[in-house]
Amino acid sequence: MSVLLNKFLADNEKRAYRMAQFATGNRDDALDIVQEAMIKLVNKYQHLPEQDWSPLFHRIVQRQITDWYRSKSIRQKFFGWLPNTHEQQADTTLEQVEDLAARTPDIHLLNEQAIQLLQTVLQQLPMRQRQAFLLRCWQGLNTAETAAAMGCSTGSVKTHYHRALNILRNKLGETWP
Amino acid sequence: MSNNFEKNVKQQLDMSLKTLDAATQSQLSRARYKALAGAKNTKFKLSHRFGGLTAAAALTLLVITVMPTLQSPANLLLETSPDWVLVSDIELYQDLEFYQWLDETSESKS
Repeated sequence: MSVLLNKFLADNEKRAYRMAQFATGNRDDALDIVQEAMIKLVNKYQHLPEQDWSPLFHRIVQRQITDWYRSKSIRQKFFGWLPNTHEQQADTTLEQVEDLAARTPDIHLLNEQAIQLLQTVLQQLPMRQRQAFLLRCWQGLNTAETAAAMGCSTGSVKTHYHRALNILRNKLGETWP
Repeated sequence: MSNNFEKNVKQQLDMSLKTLDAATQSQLSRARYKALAGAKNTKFKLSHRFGGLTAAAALTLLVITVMPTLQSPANLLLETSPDWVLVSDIELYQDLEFYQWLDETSESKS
């Protein structure tokens, strides 16, 4: 069981991390979200059939992201006047230096700016629109599965998804027609 | 048109996974191992919790069965007496006490 679960988590952790990173804009927070989601899945749902893990894991990750937004808004309400040194430090850590050995020159040339631009635009999207877009377009979930992961109706998913798509097309259309 | 755009975005997002820095990949692996190890620890803790529960139940049972017998003075004497004191000695002592009390009460009557 733990071998299967290990494989499942290994296959999904990077994507979950990127989703969390797009949402939080912070590497450490994204890692925390993914780790917490993994712990919850392992502790509560590892006994369930393997095919149930994927929707549950996405649901947990999305819940973690929503909780992160909630705690952030509370923090800003009470401690918004304090300077945010955490984010400044996170931006300058050596750990953020990209592993250049893992990249080939053509990938570097083609994708560096594109990924940066996409990340910026995704971060600017409202949370629900970003969730709907990433789960539908990237994760490949259907409308019902996305609705289950987001905890909303299928109608809401469609609305969020199309709004996100319009915004992205308007902002990135020239780059990727 | 829209399909092409979505494909391109998906392709870029997939590419962003390949270019994830080594430190982050390593931290994700560590987080995974920690989560999986945590599940094993939880099982361990759970068994410990039940072990503790069993021990607590046994202790309670022991207290319930032993406490009523400890309440009588003779048993209290037995508890506090050194090991070399025989039960017959204690009985003799109790008899002496009784006879002393009997003498005292008969004297007071007379």
